[in-house]
Order: sequence, then C-alpha cells, then structure tokens
Amino acid sequence: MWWELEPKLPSPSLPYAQRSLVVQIQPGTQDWDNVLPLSALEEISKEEAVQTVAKPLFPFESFTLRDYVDHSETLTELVHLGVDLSKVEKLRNAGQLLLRLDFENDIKKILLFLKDVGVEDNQLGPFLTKNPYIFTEDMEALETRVAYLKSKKFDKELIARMVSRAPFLLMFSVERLDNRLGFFQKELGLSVQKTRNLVSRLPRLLTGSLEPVKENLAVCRIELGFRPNEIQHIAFKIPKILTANKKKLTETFDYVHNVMGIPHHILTNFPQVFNSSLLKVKERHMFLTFLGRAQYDPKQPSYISLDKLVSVPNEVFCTEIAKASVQDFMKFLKTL
Amino acid sequence: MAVHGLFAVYKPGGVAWPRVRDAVETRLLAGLNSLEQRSSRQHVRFLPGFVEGEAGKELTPVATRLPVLADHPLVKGPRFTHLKVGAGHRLDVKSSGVFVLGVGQGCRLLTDMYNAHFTKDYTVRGLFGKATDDFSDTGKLIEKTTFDHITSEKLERILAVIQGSNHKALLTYANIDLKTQEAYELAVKGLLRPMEKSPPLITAIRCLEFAPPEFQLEIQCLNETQQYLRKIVHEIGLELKSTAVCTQVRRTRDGFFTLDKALLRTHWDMENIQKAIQDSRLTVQTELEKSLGHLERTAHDEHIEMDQVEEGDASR
Repeated sequence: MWWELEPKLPSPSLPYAQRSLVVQIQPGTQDWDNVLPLSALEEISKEEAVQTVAKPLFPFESFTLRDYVDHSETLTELVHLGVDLSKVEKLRNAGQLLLRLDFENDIKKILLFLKDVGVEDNQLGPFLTKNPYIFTEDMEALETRVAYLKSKKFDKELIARMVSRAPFLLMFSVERLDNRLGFFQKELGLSVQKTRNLVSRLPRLLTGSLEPVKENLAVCRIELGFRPNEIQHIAFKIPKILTANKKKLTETFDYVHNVMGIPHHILTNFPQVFNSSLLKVKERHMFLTFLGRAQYDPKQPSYISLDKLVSVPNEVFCTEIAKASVQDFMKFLKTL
Repeated sequence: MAVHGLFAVYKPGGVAWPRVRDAVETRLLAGLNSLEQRSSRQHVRFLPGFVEGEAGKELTPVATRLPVLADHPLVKGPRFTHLKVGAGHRLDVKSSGVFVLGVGQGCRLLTDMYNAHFTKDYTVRGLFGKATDDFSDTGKLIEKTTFDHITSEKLERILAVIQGSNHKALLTYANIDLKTQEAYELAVKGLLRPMEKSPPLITAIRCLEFAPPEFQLEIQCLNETQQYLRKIVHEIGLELKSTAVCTQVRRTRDGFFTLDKALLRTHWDMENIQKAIQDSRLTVQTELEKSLGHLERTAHDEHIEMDQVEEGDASR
C-alpha cells in the first residue's frame, strides 16, 4: 500500500528523509514524540481520528531516486539547483550517498565553497550531476587544492572555469595534480605559461587518464611522422588531439596527407582538420575535386585554406568556397 | 504526432549500416524528447502559512497544490530512451546508396517489402587492368593485366550473355508454367519473379559509361549481395581476357524508394524523417498491394476451397 495511516513504529533507516516527511497539523499543541504508539485495536475518538496524519510510506529499497524525491528535502533542493537525478542515480553509490546527506549540514558548505571558487550558479547543477562525490570530500583538502592551483599562478577566473568544466579536478590530491601538470609540461616541452594555458583550455586533460595521451603522442610522432616541435605546436593549438580516438586520428591523417596531398608543414598550421569528421572532409574534398577547385597550396592562386574547408557550415561552404548551389552539393553527395 | 512508417536514407560509403540505423534512432529520440513533455501531476501538501486569526496572524497548515517532484524532467529523465528502428535490405560497409529504414509499426512493412521481392537498381564502377583478392579496389593486389584490346562492343556482348543466362534462370526459379494465362498476366505487369529463395539474379544490365580503364554499369537485380556485384565485375574482366576490380557499388533504387527520396546525412532529423514518411506512405501502400495482391488472392482462393471441402465432409 502506498498511502497508509501513519506507521506506528518509527522506521529504522533514513532518519533525515523521514523528518522532512512529517506534516504537522498543529505545531506546538502536541508533542508527537511522547505519544505512546497506539494499538491497532484501541478505539479512538473522532477528534483523534481527524488528527491522524495519512502520509505516504517510502520504499525501503528502490532502484531509482524518483521514489524518494518527494520525501527528501536534500533531493528536492538538489533538483531545484538543477541536478539531473536521472543521471546521478546511474553513478555508482551516488544514490545512497545523496540520500544520507543532510542539506543544512553537509551540502550547504560545499555549495558555498564552490561559489567561493567561482562556479557560476547555472553551472552548479551540471557540476553536481557529473560529480556528486564531492560531498564526501574533506573541506580542508578541497581548500588546499584550490590553494595549490593558486600557487601555480592560475588566476581566479581560470580556476573557476577549470573546476566547472572538469568537475573531478578538485577530487585529485595535490601530489597527483602536481604530477599531471609536470607530465604535460615535460611530454610536450612547453613553458610554464603555455602549460597553464593548455590545461585551462581543456581541463579534462588533468582529470582524464594519461595513457591515451601518451599513446596519441606516440602515434603523432611515429605513425604520422610529425617532428617534436610540430607536435608541440599542434597540441597547443588544439589540445583535443591529445584525447582524440587513435584510429580516427590515423584515418584522418591518411586521407588528408595521402589523398588530398597536404604536406606536414601545412597540416601543422591548420590542425583543425583533426577535430572535424572525416566524412565531412571527404565529401567536401571530393566536391571540390569534381569542380576542379581543390587547390590547397598557399603559393598558387584560388587557394583554399584547410581551416575554412572544415570549419564553415554547408551553406557557407557551397556559396563561398565551392561557388556552387547547395542543391548541386546535395545532388553530388548522392553520387558518392 | 506519430512516426510510424518507411523512409529511405542515403548511406555513405565506408560506414556500417548499424551505425546509420543508430544515428537515425538517436536523432529521432532527440527530436521526440525535445517535444513538449506531459505536464506533471499535482498533489496537495499542507504547508505552514500565515492566516488572519483572532489573535493577529496565526501559523497554520494551508493546503497547497504542488507539482509532484517525481515527475520533474530532471528526476524522470528523458521520456523516450529506445525506439524501434528496423533496416530493410542491407548494404555492406563499402557500398553506398538508398537504404530503407522502418520506424515503429513501419517495421512490419519491411517484412512485406522483403516478401514482395522487388528488384533493386545499382550503379557499379569498375576499373580494368587489376585484380584483387576481394574484388574491390582496396583489396590486396593479385595481378595486373593489359586492357588495350577491350572495346565497347566486346563489353556489350558479354553483358548481353550475362543478361541472357540470368533471364533463363529467372524463368526457372519463378516456378510458374509459362504457358498459362496467369504467367502471361504477371509478365505483362512485369511481376514475373521468383517468390521463394533463389540465388542472386540479374534482371537487366547495361553499360552507362565506357572510358578505359574505367567503366560504369547499371544493374537491376534480385536477391543480390554487394559482394556478388563485385564478383560480377571481376568475372566480366576475366571474360574479356583481362581483369577488373570494382571501385564503387551504389544502390540507386530499392523497390519503390528512389534516389531523390533518400535523405542525406544532414537531413536525418525528426522533421525531415516525418515528412519523408508522410510522403511515401501512399506509395508504400499501393506498391505493396500491387505486388503482393495476387499472392494474397491465391492464398484466399485456396482457403475458400479448403472450407468447402471441410463443409462437404461434415455434411456427409
């Protein structure tokens, strides 16, 4: 039964959720705690019966937070903050964690801390959706980590941006953060200033696994044949290449270098090709070849820059680069 | 609002068909979930509120209607998480072209479409002078040959032979007595085709373009696989005392879905798919009826005969 008369015995678990549940009819007139539990057989007067509060029982176990959200003040507040509970409940142990927390005691301080760090109000929801585990962290540890970042000359706005874009950043211990910053500086041979710039533009580099980054660097060096200074330049220009899919990277390079015939030094100047979808590059290159406009050498007339080739939307591509109508492009795509 | 039915997409080469299907499903789900959501239920809660009483303001519970938080979109999650999207006749990774998909109850029509044994049109590009282990241009090179002696006439002759032998096979697998009125009527409508399993059959083949070493063929066929078409190109090469590889297989028609009805990758969204389904609904119905109609009629006739026999038994 979902709706029942008030349970005669206090339920053992989830004390906080239950507290929020009690709907008091006449506050102050009666001390509910001192009332002895009534026997089910005892006759009660009409007045007493009216005062009995019917309240929903919440399930003792459930696979979703949906069943608890109307009873728990914590969850209610989190939803109003913009936390996507449907996503949080899929994270390991996150559901139990949130239910055990008390909004006033556990959550408020973290929220205030995050506001202090500079996370925007509308970013709090997405942040907590990604990383509800921050509530388990020690306040002091969090503050030391922010202090560490400050000591590394990240200014306040940068820290705010990094924390809101990589929610797990503050979960890492100072030693680990230091290690990781050192890794990027050493592997790419960047200056301190540039390393700071790099990780602030793509902070998930710091929280993600380092193994794919190492692999991608090796792929760039050995398979694609870029020189170390070229790799440094590319990685600084588009840090995303460090976390990209290895297979996609080689496929794109294979097409751009071997089919479109673009040498390494031009690729170094326009590395945006690696960020775009290979299918898009293929389609556009083939259309330009069909029109006889595929000319990627900057020294010759009617030169088309690689950057423009991949970054503009289809309509602009057709009118400005290919100088053809969108309909013709569509028709051409259906002959591929 | 209903997305049920058949539509065609243009599958690009180099992409596996399940990925195309999944992409369409994701886009459709995004479209469906962005539509207006069902409004959440309301429940009554007694919240403390101030009411003008005898002694000034009094704190008493006040009945208030509140939306149920369990129905909040952030708690409930997206409304649609799965959608039934079925694929029609498959296309392998390397080939491109018209690829029919069915959504929701449209998946049933896919079975009908399969049973109707429609012919499909392909354009196939070939290249003389090479042979590879998988008959396509990306395979491992096995041999190189000369192709100067090949002329357009010689190619046409081979194509005529292929068409002739396949036509003969078509008649045997059609499993119908050619000297009957029924066969004549089917043949007039152009519906003479095998209705059960049969090997790949080419119903028409012609040369679209001949510029050695390249050539382009148009093939109309039944029960084919794309690899079979590549093999045909390879065999044409061998027949011409040379070799050939297939550089492109592109389906231009699958049953009644033609190239201009197929949606390009940029148009795989809710609005365009819905429009495509609406547009093709009538054609799907009439074409399926036309080609399956005579089958149902014969099945119906048999059914009636069976009934009469049973009745006869009972009266005896």
